[in-house]
Amino acid sequence: MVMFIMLPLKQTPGSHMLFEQSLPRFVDKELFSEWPGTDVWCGLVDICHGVPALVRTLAGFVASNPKKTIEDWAKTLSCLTREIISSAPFDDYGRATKLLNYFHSDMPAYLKTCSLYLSMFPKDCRISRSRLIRRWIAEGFVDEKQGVRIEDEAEAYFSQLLERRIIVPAEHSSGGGVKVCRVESMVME
Amino acid sequence: MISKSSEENFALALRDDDWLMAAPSSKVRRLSIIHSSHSKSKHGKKALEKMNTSHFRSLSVFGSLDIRIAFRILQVPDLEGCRDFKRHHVKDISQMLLLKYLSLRGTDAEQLPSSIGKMQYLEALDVRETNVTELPGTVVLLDRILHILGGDKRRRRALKLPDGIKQNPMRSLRVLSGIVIAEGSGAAWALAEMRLLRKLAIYRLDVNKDSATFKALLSSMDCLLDRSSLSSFTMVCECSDFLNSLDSLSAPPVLLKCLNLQGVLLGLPMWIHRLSPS
Repeated sequence: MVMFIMLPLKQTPGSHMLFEQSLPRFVDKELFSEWPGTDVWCGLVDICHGVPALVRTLAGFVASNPKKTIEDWAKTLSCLTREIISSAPFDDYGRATKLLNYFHSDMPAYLKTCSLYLSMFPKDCRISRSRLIRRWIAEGFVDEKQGVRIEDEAEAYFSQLLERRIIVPAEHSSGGGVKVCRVESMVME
Repeated sequence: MISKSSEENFALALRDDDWLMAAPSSKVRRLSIIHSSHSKSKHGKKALEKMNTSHFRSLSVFGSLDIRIAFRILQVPDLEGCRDFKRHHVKDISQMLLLKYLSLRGTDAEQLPSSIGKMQYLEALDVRETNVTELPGTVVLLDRILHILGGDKRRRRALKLPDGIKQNPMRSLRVLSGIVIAEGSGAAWALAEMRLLRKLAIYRLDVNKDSATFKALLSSMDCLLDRSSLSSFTMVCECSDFLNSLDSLSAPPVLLKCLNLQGVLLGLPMWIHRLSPS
């Protein structure tokens, strides 16, 4: 069993603030207009039990599903609540596993493959973007689309994993893009 | 992710602490060997010797490369940053004719097998920060090669391309990084034919002004910057002649996004202000 130590944000308002801050700027804030009054958002954030990495991953998950309505999110919440209550070890580790599994299953197939591929790297390994992209292409994970260069398609996958917080930036290039990334240890497990 | 990955037989990652758990299914296509710190895992070596490795398509090694890697159908070996790279590994690699991607970056590799020309599927070759200073002549036969990365900027090393490139100008290349162009280098001529090139980095230039190679390179650069899709260009050279000759290009390179010139520069190329701002 692998241990990870993280200080929970005990106070729920802290988690909510982190959630809101972690949402990328392009997210339509209208979805959250009634927030924090909306029970759904509170519920989703509460499920993370104050673990910062989970709250951030949740924000990435929300941001990457812009088409979901508040009803959809309510369904997600009830589904997650059921899952977590039914899981026997009611600790943060079990909770994190359930949540991350849920996020994982919600990803499109190509992203699942590309993110599983990260498990081949050591924990806390700094992975260069171009190396990862070249390897995805060599492995045949990247679909060729008409009129789109395969490298550009792979770059898009990389951005989507960043957006979902499966990977986080570790170093930027002079042009401002992410040059090196790493995988959050909790996600890695 | 690690648990999910082994659950789905996606990849087998052998870490220092869990060699014993390794019960490989013959369905797993990807193998990753991870030695943390400086340990050389005896367990690991033994486990691997017992294992049937013929089904692995993809291999990553982190830490010490204390094993033989003669996996014949391997397509994606990534040995970046491995210690203990030995001569026999070159022999192992020479057997892998289905290679698509080969990274030896940061290892002690000194040479590549001359059979590399037979690796018809090879798309990416990374020998940056190694002791490989020259590519085998057969490399020009690789029809599908997209990326060649070599040299070492920090140690001021550059990679020599075979002269045969003049006759076989590797037109498929998209990225060519870390090369040297010396007097008589076939690459000076071949560059003109690489119309798909997006990134070019020349780490050393040893040519005299007004020599045939100098003129060929200048005219190749003119072709590349004018008509091709080159978006990133890096050139490091000690003398100013070539850098200053860039002024004479016939049209400004409109697609260029990244320009990196190092050396004795008397001024920026005159077309610099005509580059698109995007």
